[in-house]
Amino acid sequence: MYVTDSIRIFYTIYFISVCLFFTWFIRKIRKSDVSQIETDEKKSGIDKRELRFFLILISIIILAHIITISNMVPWQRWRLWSKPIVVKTYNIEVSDYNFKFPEEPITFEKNQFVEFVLNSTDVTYGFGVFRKDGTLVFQIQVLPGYKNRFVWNFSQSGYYDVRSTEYSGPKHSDMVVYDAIKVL
Amino acid sequence: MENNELTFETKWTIRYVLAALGFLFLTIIEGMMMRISHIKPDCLSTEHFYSVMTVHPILGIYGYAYMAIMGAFYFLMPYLLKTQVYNKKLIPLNFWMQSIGVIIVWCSGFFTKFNALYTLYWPLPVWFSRISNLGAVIFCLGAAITLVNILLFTYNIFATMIKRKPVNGAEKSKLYSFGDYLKSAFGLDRIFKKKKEIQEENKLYDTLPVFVVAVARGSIDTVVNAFVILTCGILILIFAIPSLLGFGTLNPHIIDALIYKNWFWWGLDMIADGNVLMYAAGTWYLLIPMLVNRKLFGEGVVRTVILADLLISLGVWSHHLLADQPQPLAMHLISGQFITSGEIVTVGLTIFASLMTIYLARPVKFTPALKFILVSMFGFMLGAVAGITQANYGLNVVLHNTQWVIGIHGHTMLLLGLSPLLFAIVYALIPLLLNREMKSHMLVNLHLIFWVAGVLIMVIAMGSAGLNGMLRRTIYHGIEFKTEMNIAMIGGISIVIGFLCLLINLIRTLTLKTIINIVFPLRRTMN
Repeated sequence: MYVTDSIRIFYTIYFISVCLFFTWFIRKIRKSDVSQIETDEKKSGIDKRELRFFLILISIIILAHIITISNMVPWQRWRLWSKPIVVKTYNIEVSDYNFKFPEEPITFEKNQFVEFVLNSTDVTYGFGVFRKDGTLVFQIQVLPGYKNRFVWNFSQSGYYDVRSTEYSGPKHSDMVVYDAIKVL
Repeated sequence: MENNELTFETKWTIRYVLAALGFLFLTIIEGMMMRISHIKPDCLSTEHFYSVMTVHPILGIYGYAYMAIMGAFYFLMPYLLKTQVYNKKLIPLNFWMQSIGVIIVWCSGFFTKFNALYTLYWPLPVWFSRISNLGAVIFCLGAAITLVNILLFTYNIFATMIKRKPVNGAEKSKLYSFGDYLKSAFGLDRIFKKKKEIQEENKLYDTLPVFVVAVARGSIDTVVNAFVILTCGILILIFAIPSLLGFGTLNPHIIDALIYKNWFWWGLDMIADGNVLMYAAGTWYLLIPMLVNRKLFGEGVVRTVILADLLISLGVWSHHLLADQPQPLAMHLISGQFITSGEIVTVGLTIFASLMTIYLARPVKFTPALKFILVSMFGFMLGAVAGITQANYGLNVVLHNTQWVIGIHGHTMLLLGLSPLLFAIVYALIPLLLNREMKSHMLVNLHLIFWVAGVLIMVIAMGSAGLNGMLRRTIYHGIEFKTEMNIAMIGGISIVIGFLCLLINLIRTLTLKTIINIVFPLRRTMN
C-alpha cells in the first residue's frame, strides 16, 4: 500500500464524517429543543465546550504531526531521523526542456540509498519519479542556481519514468522520459 | 423600490456585485476550456492553454472575489459603524481601476498568449524565448493597476474606520490614530498597557463590531499582499521593458530564484492563508447573528482568534516551498508545517463559534443566505484539512503539484468555501438593499444543489487523479486520467447550471430595467 492510499482512506473517512455531521446538524437546527435552549452566555472568557473543542483540535494536530514525522511515513526515516550512506550520486542537468542523465537508464539496485543532484541552467523545473502505473514516487523542485539534492531508497525493482513536475514554459508537458530509471 | 430611490452606495454595491458575477462567468468559461483540454488535449494550443491557466486565477480572485468583497464592504462598513465612506469618489474609481486592471491582465493572455502562470516563478516571466515579452509588460501593468487600486481601497476602508464621519444625528464617537489601530490590530495594546488601564478602558478593537475587526485585521494582509506582488511586478518590468525597447537584456540569474520565491509566496499567501480566512470569518460573524437573530457565541474568543489568524498568516508561506530542497529544513518544518497547522485551530474555532450560534438559536429559518453559509462552512472544513495534509514535510513529497493540491484543496476552498459565502452575501444584501426577496426560491435551491454537487464531483475527481499521480499544470496526450477528467467535466457542467440559476434569479429579482438603469445611469446622484 502506498502512502497516497493511506491519504485516500483518511480523507474519505474524514469526508464522510463531515457529511454525516452536517446531516445531523441540519436536522437538529430545524427543530426546537426547549429543554436545552440556553440564554445568552453571561460569563466572560472561554466557554467550556469551546475549550474542550480547542483541546481536541490541538490533540489531533499534535497526533498528526507525530504520525507524519515518524517512520510511519517511510521516507522520514532517512529524511529526518538518520544520515543515510549514499551508495551512488547521479548528477542530472536540466536545461532547454531536457533532462540530461549521466546514463540511460540510470541503473542501481533496490534498497540502496541513491542521491540525485539536479542543476538547472535556465528556469525552474521539477523532477518527479513515477511508477509504471502512473503513481508518484517522489518529486522535487529544480531551482536554477542551486544544487537540488534529494536522497531516495527504492524498495521495488522495475522501471520508473521521470517527468518535470513544475511548469517551465509551454513545452513543459513534453518533459517526460519513459524508463529513465531501472531498479534491479 | 425605484432606481432613483437607491442611494449612491447601494447603486455602486449592486454594480460591484454585477461586475463580480461577470468576472465569475468569464472565470467559469476559462475553467471549462481547461476541462475540455484535459479530455481533448489538441483543442487548444499549449500556449493558449497555459495563457488561459495564467489569467484564470487572476480573474477569479482579483476580478470576481475582490469586486464582490469591495462592493459588500463599501456598503457594510459604513452601515455597521454608522458613518459614511471616507472618500466617496474612490468608490467608482476603485470599481473602474479594478475592472480595467483585471481586463488588461486578461488581454495579456488573449492577445499575446502570456503564459508564465500566476506563480511567476523566477526567471520564467523574463525568459523571453518562452514567454511573450510584450505580454509580460501588459500583464504586469494590469496587475499593477489592480494592486494599486487594492491599496487605495484598503486606505479608504481604514480611513472610514479611523476618521469616522457620523451620519446625520448620530453621536460622534471617539477618534483614534492609525498607530492606535495598528497596535491594537496586533494585540500590542494588551501587552503594553498596564492591567489597571485595561480594566478601566476597553481595548480599541473590543469597541468595534467583530466584522469590522476581521476586515481591519484582514486588510493588513491585503496591504502586504498588494505591496509584495507589486514589487515582483516592478522587478519583471525592469527586465521586460528594456528588452522590449531593444536596449538589450539583463541577466535574469542576478536575481536569486529561492529568495524571490520566498518573497513572492510570503506576499501571495497573504490572500489564501490570510485575508480570505479573516474576511470569511468576519462575514460569518456578521451574517449568522443577523440571520438567526442571536448574539454571536463566544465573541471574546472570536476576537482573539482573528488576531491569531493575522499572526499565523504572517508565518506560513514556506508550505509552498516544501519541495524546494535548498530551503532550510527549519523553514520547512516550522513555517511550512507547524505554524501552518495553526490555521486548522483558527478555522476550527471560527466554525465552532459560528455553528454554536446557529445551534443555540434553533429552530432556525433556512433562508437562502443561511443555506449558503452552511455550505461555505462545509467547504472550508473539507478544503482546509486537504490543505493541511499537503502542507506537511512528509506527505508533500507525493502531493506537491498534483491535482490534489488544486482540486480537493484549492477549488474546494474557492468554490465550496469562499464562493458560497459570497453568494450568501448577495442573498443577504438584496433584501437589505432593495427591500425585496429573491424572486424564486426554487432557483435558489437549484443553484445550491447544482453548484454543490458540481463542485464535489469535480474536486473529488481531481483529487483522486492527483493521488493516482496526475500533475497540475500538465497536459496528458495519452489515455491516462481520462476517466477522472470526464467525471470532472460532468461536475463542471453542473457548476455552470448552478451559476445560470443564480444569474436568472438575480435578473428576475432586480428586473432587467433596474439593472440597465444601474449599469447605465441617466443622471448622476450623490445622495
